Amino acid sequence: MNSAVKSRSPVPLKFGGSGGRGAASKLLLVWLALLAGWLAGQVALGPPAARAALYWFHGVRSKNVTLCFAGNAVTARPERVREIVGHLQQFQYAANVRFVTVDGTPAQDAAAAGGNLQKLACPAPTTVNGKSYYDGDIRVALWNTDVPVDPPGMVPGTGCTQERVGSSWSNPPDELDAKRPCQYNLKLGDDDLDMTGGQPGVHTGTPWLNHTLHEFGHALGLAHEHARADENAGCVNTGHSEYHAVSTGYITPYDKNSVMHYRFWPNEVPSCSGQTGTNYSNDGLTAYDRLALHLMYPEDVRVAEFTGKTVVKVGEALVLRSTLTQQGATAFALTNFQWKVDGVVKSTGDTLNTTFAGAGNHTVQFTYRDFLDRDYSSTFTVRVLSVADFNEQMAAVEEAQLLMMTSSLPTYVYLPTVVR
Amino acid sequence: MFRSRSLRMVIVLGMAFLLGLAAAWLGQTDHVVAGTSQTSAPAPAAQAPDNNPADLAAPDAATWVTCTPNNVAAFSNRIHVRCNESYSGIRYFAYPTTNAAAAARYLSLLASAQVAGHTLSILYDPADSSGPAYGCAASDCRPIQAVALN
Repeated sequence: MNSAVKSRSPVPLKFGGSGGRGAASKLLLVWLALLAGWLAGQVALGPPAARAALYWFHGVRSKNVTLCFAGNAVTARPERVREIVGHLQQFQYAANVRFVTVDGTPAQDAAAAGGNLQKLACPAPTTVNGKSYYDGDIRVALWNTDVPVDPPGMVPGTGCTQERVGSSWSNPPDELDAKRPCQYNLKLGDDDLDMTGGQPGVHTGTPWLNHTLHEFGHALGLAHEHARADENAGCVNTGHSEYHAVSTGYITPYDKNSVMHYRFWPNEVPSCSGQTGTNYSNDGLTAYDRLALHLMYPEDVRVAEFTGKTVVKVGEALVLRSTLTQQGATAFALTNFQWKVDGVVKSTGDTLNTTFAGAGNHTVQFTYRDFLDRDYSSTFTVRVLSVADFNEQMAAVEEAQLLMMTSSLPTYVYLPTVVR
Repeated sequence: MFRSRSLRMVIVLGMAFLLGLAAAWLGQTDHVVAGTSQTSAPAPAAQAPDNNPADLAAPDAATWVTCTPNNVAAFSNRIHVRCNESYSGIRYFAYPTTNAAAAARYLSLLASAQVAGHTLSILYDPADSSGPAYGCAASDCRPIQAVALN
C-alpha cells in the first residue's frame, strides 16, 4: 500500500505528484467501487422496466417512415398485412406522417387492390461492421409466419440484442439504429380478446384495430396512457407495475379511451365506467390521441394555430386563444407563448385579451414552442372598426347569409317577402 | 472515529458500492433515460392461425378542425376555403356545386368568416376521396361535411 493511502491527513489531489498518486489511487478505488455497485445493480435489476407517459421521451420519427413486414408475411398473411396498412391510415389522417415502402411507394398504394404487396416485404439484410443491417424503419413481425416470434430467445439477426417477449411490442423511435441488426423491431399479435364481459374473455376472431394502433403508437413515440399518475377514472389496476408510475410528459389530459391505454379485466377495475376505447377495441384514435400525434408530427409549415375573431369594434375585447390548448394541449406540450400587437408583447399566455381605443388595422404575431423545441408562428391583421362601420359591415354579411339561406329553401316554405 | 485507516477505507468503498447500486436503481426509474420495448398486455393465449376475412375499412375518421380562412372561392363546379393551418397536408376544404343549396350555405359561412374575421370549425373525413371529381385535389383538399362559425 502506498504512503498516500496510509496517510490520515487529506492529501491534495495532484495527478502526477507522489502525494497526489496516493489520493488518486484512493479516488480510483472509490470510483471502481461505485462502478462495481452500478454494474451489480444492472445485473441484479435486469433491463429497465418499460416506461410510460403519453410522450415516451424517446424521440419521434421523420415524416416519411419506411415500413415493411418481416419474413414471408406478405405471402403467408397478405390479408392481415393489408388490414394493418389500412389501419395505419388513421395516423396519416391525424398527423404529418407517411408510411412508405422501402422503395418509397406509399404503403397504402402497395396494399391496395392491384398494388404490389411484395413491396411491403422486408428486404434481406446486409452486413455492416460484422452485424446484420435490416432496412426499413418499422419492421413488423406477425404471428404465424416463418419469423420466430415466441419467447424465449432473441430476435434473429447477427448482433441483435432484442429479446422475444410478450405478445406484442415495439421499439421506440430513438432505438432505430441500435436495433438495426434485428430482423424486426415491432411484433404485432392478432389480439382479439374481448375482455369487457370479464374473465376468461371471448376471442372475437378479428384482431382489434386499436391493438395495431397501440403498437404503432409506441413506434411513433407514444407511451402507455394507463401509467399516468393523474389517472382519475379507476380504469387502471392498482396492482399493475405501471400504476401511476409516470408524472411527466403529458401532452394532453388523461384519456381512459386512448389507444395507448390497456384494457383491464372488469373485476380489476370495478369503479371504471364508460370506457369505450383502450388497446382492445375498434374505436380508433381518440381526439386526444389525434391531438398528441398532431403535436408530435406537425405540418411542414409550422403555423401557430389560434381561434377567435380578428375583426372587432372599438372598445370590444379582442380575444384570441391557441387552438391547441383549447383542444387540450398541456403546458408541457406547448410553451413560450407570445402575442405581439404592432411589435409590442401583449401576452405571454395561450390567450390574447386586449382592447383598442381607436379604429384601425393592427399586426398581430402569435408564436409558441412545442416540447421538442420546434417553433410555430402566425402573423395576421386585426381590424378594429368604429361601431358604425362594424355594424354596417356585419349587417351586410348577415344579410348575405340570410339571402343565401332563404334562396335555397323550397318554394313551398312560406317566408315573408321581405325575407325572401 | 474509526479504529484503523483500513476499516475506514473499507467503509468508504462499501458506501461507494451502495451508491453505485442506488444509481443503477435510479437510472432504471428515471423516465428520461434510454428505454426499451414495451409489451402489450394483457397478453392473450396464442391463437389459432388467422383465417378471418380482412377488415380493410377503417372506421369513420371524420374530425373537426379549426380553420383561419385566407381565401374563399367559387368555381363552376365547387366552392372552397383555404386555411392558414393545414392538417396532414390538407388546407383546402371544398364542396361540389352539384348540390347548389348546400354549396350556397357553406359559401355564405365561409365568406362571412373571412370578412368578419372569424375562425371556422370544419368537419371533414380525411379518408373521403370524392374530391378530385370536382377539382378538390387529394393531396391538399377534402370535401366539407359541416362548417361552424366560431
